[in-house]
Amino acid sequence: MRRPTILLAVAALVAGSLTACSAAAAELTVLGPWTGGEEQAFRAMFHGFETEENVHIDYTGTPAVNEVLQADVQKGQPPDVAVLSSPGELARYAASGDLRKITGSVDVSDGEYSQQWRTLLKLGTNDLYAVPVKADLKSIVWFDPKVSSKMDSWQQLLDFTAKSAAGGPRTWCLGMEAYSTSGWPGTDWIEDILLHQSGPSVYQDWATGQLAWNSDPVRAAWQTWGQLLDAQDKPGDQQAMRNAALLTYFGDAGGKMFDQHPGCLLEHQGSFTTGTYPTTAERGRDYDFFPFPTIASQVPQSYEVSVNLAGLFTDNPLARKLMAYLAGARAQGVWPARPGGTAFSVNREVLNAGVYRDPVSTRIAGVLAQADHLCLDASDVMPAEMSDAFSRAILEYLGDPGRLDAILTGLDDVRSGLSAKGRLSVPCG
Amino acid sequence: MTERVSTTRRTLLRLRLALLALTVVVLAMSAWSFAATQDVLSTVRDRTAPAVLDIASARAALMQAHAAAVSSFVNGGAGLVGPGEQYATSLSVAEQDLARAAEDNSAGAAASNELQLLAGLLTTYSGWMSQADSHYRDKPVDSLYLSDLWYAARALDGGDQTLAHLEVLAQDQQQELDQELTADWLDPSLALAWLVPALVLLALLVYTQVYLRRRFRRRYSPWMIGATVVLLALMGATATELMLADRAHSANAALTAYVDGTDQQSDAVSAGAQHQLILLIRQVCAPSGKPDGCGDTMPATPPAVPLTTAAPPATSAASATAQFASATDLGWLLVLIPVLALAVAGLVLAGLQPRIDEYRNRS
Repeated sequence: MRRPTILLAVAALVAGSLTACSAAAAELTVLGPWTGGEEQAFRAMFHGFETEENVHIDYTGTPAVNEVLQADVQKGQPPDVAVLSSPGELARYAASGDLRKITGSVDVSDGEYSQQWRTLLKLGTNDLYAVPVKADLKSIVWFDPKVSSKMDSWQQLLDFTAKSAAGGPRTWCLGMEAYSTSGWPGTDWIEDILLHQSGPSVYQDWATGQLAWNSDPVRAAWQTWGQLLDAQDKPGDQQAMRNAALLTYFGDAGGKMFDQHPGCLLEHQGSFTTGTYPTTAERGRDYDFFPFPTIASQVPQSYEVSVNLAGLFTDNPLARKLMAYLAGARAQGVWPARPGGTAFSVNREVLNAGVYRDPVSTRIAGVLAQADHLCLDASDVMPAEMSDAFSRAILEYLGDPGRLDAILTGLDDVRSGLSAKGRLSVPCG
Repeated sequence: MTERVSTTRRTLLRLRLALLALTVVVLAMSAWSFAATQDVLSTVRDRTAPAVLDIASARAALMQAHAAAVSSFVNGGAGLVGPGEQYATSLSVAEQDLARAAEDNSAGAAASNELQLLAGLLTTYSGWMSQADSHYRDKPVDSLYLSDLWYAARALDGGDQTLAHLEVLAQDQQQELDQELTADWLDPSLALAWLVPALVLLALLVYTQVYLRRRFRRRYSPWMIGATVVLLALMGATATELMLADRAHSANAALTAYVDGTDQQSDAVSAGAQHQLILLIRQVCAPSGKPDGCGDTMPATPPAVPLTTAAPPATSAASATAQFASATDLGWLLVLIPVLALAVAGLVLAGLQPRIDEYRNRS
């Protein structure tokens, strides 16, 4: 009688131990670009998943996310999920087979995501590969409604710029300094001008490396920007404004709109830039935006967007569930709902749920979720070598606009040295 | 009568068992404590303290490199030698320091990530400096070499850039060092783990001595006295870990003083370079004093340069390192401790066994 009792006790102990082991939280690894406050916001996004699935998500945030991911993939130890701000980079992982398809595992129904986004999330393939974590709207111009007003044509912008140059503050708040990526705020100008002057089709060909930098549409975009900058230069100060732009940190530029005597009147910058405005400035009352106007009449109103995309790098079924969770309206609404946040979701249900607290944010989210023509930021689509050269070219152009021919030839030299393999072929949706 | 004899033998057997068992416990705890302390102090000497020094040295070398480069452009030597030899050498020293810090890193994955990030930031910094060199030789485009120099400076001291990450890394390593010197076996209260069994053993040895004196009417048992003396020696040997820990704390204080002094010197060098650079750029972007061409980020007036050169650190790196080495120079005691414990056990056996044998037949 005693022996069976002991055996039972031992069996119960072993079973208990096994149960305890199996009840311990599983772990997923996630790599992303966010640290500090943004990391907290991202963690809040997947906190519900951790609770529901009894899983611990080991998140590593680093600004050098591309380099870390590349090293991890080369070592054969990728994170389960990685979030990149460069869709072009993600497309290269899809082409190399390191990125897993999520078709069938993740629901991006028409009710939640527009056709444009469903196209972009396929990274130029027939399969779904990515989930948007947050997005920013570019192709917009910020202004102070108390000082200036919305403009809906390029000519209006040119006239306003020239008029301001005659006396008063600078028209454009320009800052090109951005540490290692100095020059990128200028790349947004060229991209937007090309998109609104020559249309999405030409933009797509150029962004994917099929159209030369020396081609007429691209050259025209640079020259159009040059004309606008010339228009704002005061007589005798042709280079001064450009020098000021070269020496100004992009995050310091827009704040000058809110000085008692404004230092500038308009800022061409993405939706994230309001995070650099004074905390006393109120959305709608002190600043608002208007869409970047079309320059050629036959071109449809299009928007450039940047987006952080999550991709799946392992076959872990739980990681696949996390991707589905991140795509859902519940997770998508967390970051935009945070107080003082400047994050936007492209999920329609988030927009319809009234998450955004003011009309300006709601309009931005509306464009992101429902616009007819969306194009990814071309710099995020290009290979890193090309986008770096593009940023440097902006600095060269501001330093000496007369060197445009040499600059475009230099960019074409870089382009011709790059492989077309694995490049994102569909940056517009 | 038989009952009394049997009790004495049983007591002697129990004393022997208790003394030997306690000796084993004392041996285990003393050896474990001393070995663990030595292990931590060796890690501190070989990895953590060098990592702290490496990072301070990298910061100093980087500031020297930047100051040399700015000076080369300000003085016009850049036309021939670019940022200059001193820049190249100091930058190389900074990179080597960070590579060594990566090897020595014992502050975990977060510090590894910081080091990885810093390698990228240094590449950015040197990239802008190379670009400044290239644009400087292309004289017509003055503004570009100046903006390149400005970007290089911003890659150092901008928000979330090189110096900020060096600061984070230095704090991580210093916290790791402080934690290693206060936690686990270097926590003075944990000395109780070996001291309590040793004191119990000491008390039992004294009790045994008294018991033998009463029961066998012998004034002293030389074996028990010997065991007691050897035990005291063993306790003394183990207690040297407290002295070694104290040496390590002194070394840490010296290291902190050295790093603080080095950082102050680096800050002074950095302020001087920034002062020169801003004056140089303002000559071009605001030639007539008008700020329009200088943008919204650059300060209107350059930072003040310290009137007196920062004093050199009160202690040297070699001195701090030597102090950490002296905290581990009694490692041979780890061999002595088991020998002493065996001696205690042997003396106990030698002292009790004849008395137990006396009662063997009677029991």
